[in-house]
Order: sequence, then structure tokens, then C-alpha cells
Amino acid sequence: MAELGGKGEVKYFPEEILRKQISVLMRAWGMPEDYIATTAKAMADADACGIDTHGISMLPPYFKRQRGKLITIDGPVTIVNETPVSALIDGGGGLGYVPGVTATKLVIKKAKKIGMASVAVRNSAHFGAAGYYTRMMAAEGLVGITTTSAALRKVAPTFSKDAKFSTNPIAFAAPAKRNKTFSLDMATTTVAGGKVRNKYNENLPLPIGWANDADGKPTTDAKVIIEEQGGTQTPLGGTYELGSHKGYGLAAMVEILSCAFSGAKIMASDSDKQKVPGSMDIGHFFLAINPKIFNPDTPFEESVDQMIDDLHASTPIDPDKPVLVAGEPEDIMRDERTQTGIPVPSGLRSAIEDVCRESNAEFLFI
Amino acid sequence: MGQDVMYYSADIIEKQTAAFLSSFGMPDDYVEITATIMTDADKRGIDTHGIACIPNYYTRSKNNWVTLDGKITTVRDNPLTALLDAGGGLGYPVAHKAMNIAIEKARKLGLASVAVRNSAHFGAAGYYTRMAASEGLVGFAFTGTSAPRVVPALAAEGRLGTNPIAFTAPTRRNRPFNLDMATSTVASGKIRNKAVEGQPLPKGWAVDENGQPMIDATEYFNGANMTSLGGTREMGNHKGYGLGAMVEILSACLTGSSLVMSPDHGKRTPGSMEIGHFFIAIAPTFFRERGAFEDTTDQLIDELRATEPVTPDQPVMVAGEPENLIEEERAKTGIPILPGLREKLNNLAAETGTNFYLS
Repeated sequence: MAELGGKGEVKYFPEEILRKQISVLMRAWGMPEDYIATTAKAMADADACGIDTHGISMLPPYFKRQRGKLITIDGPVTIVNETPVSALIDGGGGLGYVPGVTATKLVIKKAKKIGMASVAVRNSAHFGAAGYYTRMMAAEGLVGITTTSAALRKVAPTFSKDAKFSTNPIAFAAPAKRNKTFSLDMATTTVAGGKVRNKYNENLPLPIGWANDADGKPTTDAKVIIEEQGGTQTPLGGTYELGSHKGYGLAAMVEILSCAFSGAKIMASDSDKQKVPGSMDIGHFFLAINPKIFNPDTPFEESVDQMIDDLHASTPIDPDKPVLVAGEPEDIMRDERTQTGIPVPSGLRSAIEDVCRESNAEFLFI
Repeated sequence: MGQDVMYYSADIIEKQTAAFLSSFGMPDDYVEITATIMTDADKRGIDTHGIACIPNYYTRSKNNWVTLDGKITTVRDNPLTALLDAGGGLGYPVAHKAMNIAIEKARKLGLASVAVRNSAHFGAAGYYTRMAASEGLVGFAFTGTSAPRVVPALAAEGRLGTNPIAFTAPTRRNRPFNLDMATSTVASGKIRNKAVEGQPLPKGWAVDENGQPMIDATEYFNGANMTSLGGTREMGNHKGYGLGAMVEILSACLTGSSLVMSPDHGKRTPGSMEIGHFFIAIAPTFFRERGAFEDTTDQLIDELRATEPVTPDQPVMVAGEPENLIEEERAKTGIPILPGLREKLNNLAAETGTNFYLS
């Protein structure tokens, strides 16, 4: 968020104030009262653990999307069909948090009862950080997997000039006992778009493998992504030599899980563009497994703890940078921000202030 | 023996593979399944997972690291899940059985998963997920490995295996989408090839004992390690590391197998490499009407293949397609066996009193 901070002053607020600010805006936009708390909690949680791209910084784009009728903020979340092990949920074209939390609660309930379950969601929109939902599953003792499609095409398949995917993230969480939850939440791209933007802002060259120009050739020039049409980000691996076909394969897997089970639109497909009016028609996928069903004698959580301990004990390259496990950077950030409050840079504050003014909503970051 | 590459029909390769496994002491019913799956890898160009594995399997069997006639037992059986014990045997028969159980349960109840412990190498993970797709199901397969040769992000030492992920989705018009990938940047076979050809390693493939990028391929075999997918920190190797740890959790923690980074991995149970596998099958018809999932997947595959390529002679493909192309080619040409491997197998045949069909 450095680019939004500008030269102004960073102010710190407790998570509670972030939730309140989100709630006030959602209410002003017409979100049903019973959806607001769920949405505010999930969004502010991203800020609380340092995922600044998925929290309150999304308020300005959400404002545009609901005003432009790309999303239906009061769209009803409904269960289309349901079996003891599965469900299909329709997000009603609204933001993805309530569909995401509804799906997660349902998948938890079913998996606890029968051992495993999966739920697909269609007709949804951005649902924040995918790891929020898998951590909910882990908090109930389950192993969780979540994927989502996303709207903006920016990632080109290996050997391709054209972007066909968005960042297509995958999240996986597993409960531990002594340690915090193992929580992987990753875009299937080499780097997040924000990292390219940071290099652009500082006028620094991109490492080869982060981005390709309009001809599909690796480039070090961040302008081809930020300013120009046609540049693409790379799938994890970056170049074919370093295995970008694996990142591409994972991105396609995420698209299949998120869209083929649910019937949400394929982002690569132009013919699907206007399939559902008032909806971005994003799809999500949730899978939960109860580890106790396999191994009541060898406690799963102890084995996960052992793995985390063993990984922590790896000899680091640099003694000052110990080996971490997935989720740990966010855990550390959460502890820190519990003390300091959540930093909201001045650029973001003024952007949210504008949104509040246009929405006739109270601005709380003062 | 000649120094030329020789081509053999898949039947001959399968017969030779089966003859070796029988003479090593594998029971007939296991031999049939194992030889079929190993030869499928040779047919599809996954040359690291076919008959080339035979010399290693002989060594492991001779040293009592695997129990080729290990009895497969069902430890637990629930409506949607099962836990199997491979009895220390090679992983093919137990993995085949595990995926069949998952398929049967998922067809009936919507989805299922089967965990396997006390197993060993099971070949290419994608074989088992393709089994699910050919029954109209989505399949996942994960496996642990025997050696910690892959370094976590920021680490100087190997802690994880190549920990592969396989995922297959059924289709109607196209062949199934079939992803089968190690979570390391490259397979160690690719590093070996560079060493043989005297070529430098691309930065990001391997690291030395201090965790620094290794360029000289010949040094790789003096205890160097592979990188997690991404290769370097700058290129996102924490993501490949995260995926590798995810596979370890599913294959080892969930199945009750030992962790690959444990000092006693594979040493706790005589006659077993203590490797775990995990399989998932999901029936799309529990979510949408029959055929809808396949149509969406076909649509995605068509869109991806229609993407404008960077160079016209290198079209955009989807996962599984390179193997499908080789399979078609080898159906015509036969399966190539390099002279070095042929000689190794010939010597092994003589040593073990096995019929040799590749002369």
C-alpha cells in the first residue's frame, strides 16, 4: 500500500474501527443488514494480518463496482442444491464474503458429520483473502482447500501472448496444536500485481520472469503492465525454463475447480462476458476433510506440529532470516498490529473519504 | 549391445517389466497392475517413471527396503474414506486399489478420499487421477517421497521431497485436463541431463550446501539440493515451498506416515520405505447436471489452445497434452530405449535369471 500512502501521514486504527467503517459503507450501499457483519469481519481480518490488498483498500473498487452495477450488493445468497456431502450456492451477484462464509460453514458442518464435503459457489464476486475460509475450517479441526476465479485477465499461459487468467489463488490450511495453523494462501502467479506496481513507482527494473510484453517476451519494464495494454504477468515459475508451465497448470486447475463445479463463467472466454447481468459471476470452490476419520491413533495435529518444528529447524541461508512456514508472516503481522493498530496510509484514507462523501456515509479514519 | 536407440512395442516393454518384477518376487496379481502402470509412463514419455525404475526397484528389494509381496490391508473403512496399509510393497497395486475405492465411493455418495501408508514409489501420480477422470470424476493424487532433496524458501538444506500433485478433470470433446507436477522447480533427471551434456544449470534449478544458486551441473551430485517451484525468493519459491509442505501434510500427516525430513524416515519399519499417498475423487454430477462440468472444462481447454502463441511453431497447450502427443507418436514408432538403459537391464536380466526381450 506504499503507493497509496504517498508522502502523507500513516495513522493507526484498531480492527474494530475498520469493521465499523466497512459496515457503514456497506449499509449506505444497500447491503442487507444480516450480511454486513460477516463482510466487515472478513475484510478487516485481511488488514489485521497484513494482507493490505484484500481489506479496506478494496472499498473504493467495490464502490465503483456496485455503482456501475457490476455487482448486486443486496443479491440474495441461496442454496441451489444440497446433498449430505455437497452443495451448490448462488451468490446472487453480490460481494463474495457472505457466499464464501455460508459455503464454509456448510462444508464444515457436513465434513464434521460424514468425514469430508465440498461446496461450490457461482454468481459471486470478490471474496477477499481465500485463506480466511480455509482458516475457518482449520479452526474446526479440518483440513481445508479453497479456490476462486477472479475477474481481470492478466496472466498468460506458457507460450502465449495473451492473458487468459487472473491471479487464481489457492488456499490450504491444516490445524496444528502447539503451533499456529499451517495456512497457505497463494496466487498462482509469480508475484502479486502490487509488487510490479511498487517497482514501477520506484522506477526499478523488474526481475526477468515477472512480466512479459505484448509480444510475450520477458521484460524488465514495469510500464508494460502498469501503463500499456497487452503486457501480461507470468504464472508461478516465471519462464518456461523455471517451470512456468506448472504455475499455468495450477491456474487452470483453480479455474476448473472454481467454475466447472459451480457453473460460473470461464474468465478466458469472451462469449461468457455478459452471462449474468449485475454479476461478475465469479466462482469459488471449498473442500473440507476431517483428518480424524483416517487416523484416530496417530493424531494429525501432532504430525503437523512435528513438520512445522522440523521446517523451523532448517539451517537458514542467512542466520537473520529464519525459515518460516506458510501463514507465519501473517501471524507475526497480526501480533504486531494488535499492539500498534492497523496502519492506514493517507492516500487510502483520502480515497475512502471520497467514497464516504459520495455514499453519504460517515468517515471514521480521522 | 549396440550404441543406438532401439524402439520396442509397448507390449514388449510391459512384458519385460513384468518379467523383472516376477523374478524379483512380486506376486502375479501385483505384477500385472504394476507393469501396466509403469509401461503407461513409458508410452506417454514419462521416461523417468517407467522401465527405467527397474534397476532401482531391484536394489530396494534386495536391500529389504521394500517388500514386493507385502499384503495390502484395509485399516479403516468409512462411507467416504478409507485408510490402506501397503505392507511395505511398491506403491502401484495399493495406489490402484485406493483410487478404485475412492471412485466407487464417490460414484455412490458424491466424493471420497483414501489414504495409504507404509508404501513406496507408485510411479506417475497422474495415472491414478486419469483413472478417476475416465469414470467421469475429478481426481487428485498426492504422494510423499523417500529423500529430502528440496530446500524450503530461505533454507540452506533439503527438507522436502519433490512432493508431486496430480489433478485430472474429465472432458467430452478433448482429452482430460491432466496436471501432474513435482512441486520442485525441475525434476532431478533434468539436472542429470545437463550434467551429462556438460551444460550449465539455469539459475534457480539447484542450490549448493550453503543454499546458494548452483550453476555447475557436475557438482549437483555432491550433495546439492533442488529448489522449490519458483526457484529463487524473488521468483516466488515460497509458493512452491508452501505447495510442497501441503503435499507433505496430505501424504504423511494425514496418512500417519513418517515425515520425509525425519532422520529416521524409511528406517522405522524394516522392509518399508514408509511413504504415504492420498487420493480424492469428486463426482461433478452432485453439483450440476450430467455433462455440464465436462462442457465447461472443454470450453476452457478450447479457449487456452486458441490463445495466440509467442512463436507460431510452439502452440499453447494444456496440462496432459504433451504426454498425449508423445503417446500418439510412440504408438507408431514404438518406445525408445537408450543404449545405457538397455545394457543396464541386460546385465540385470543376467544377474537375476530374467528373460531378456530387448535384444
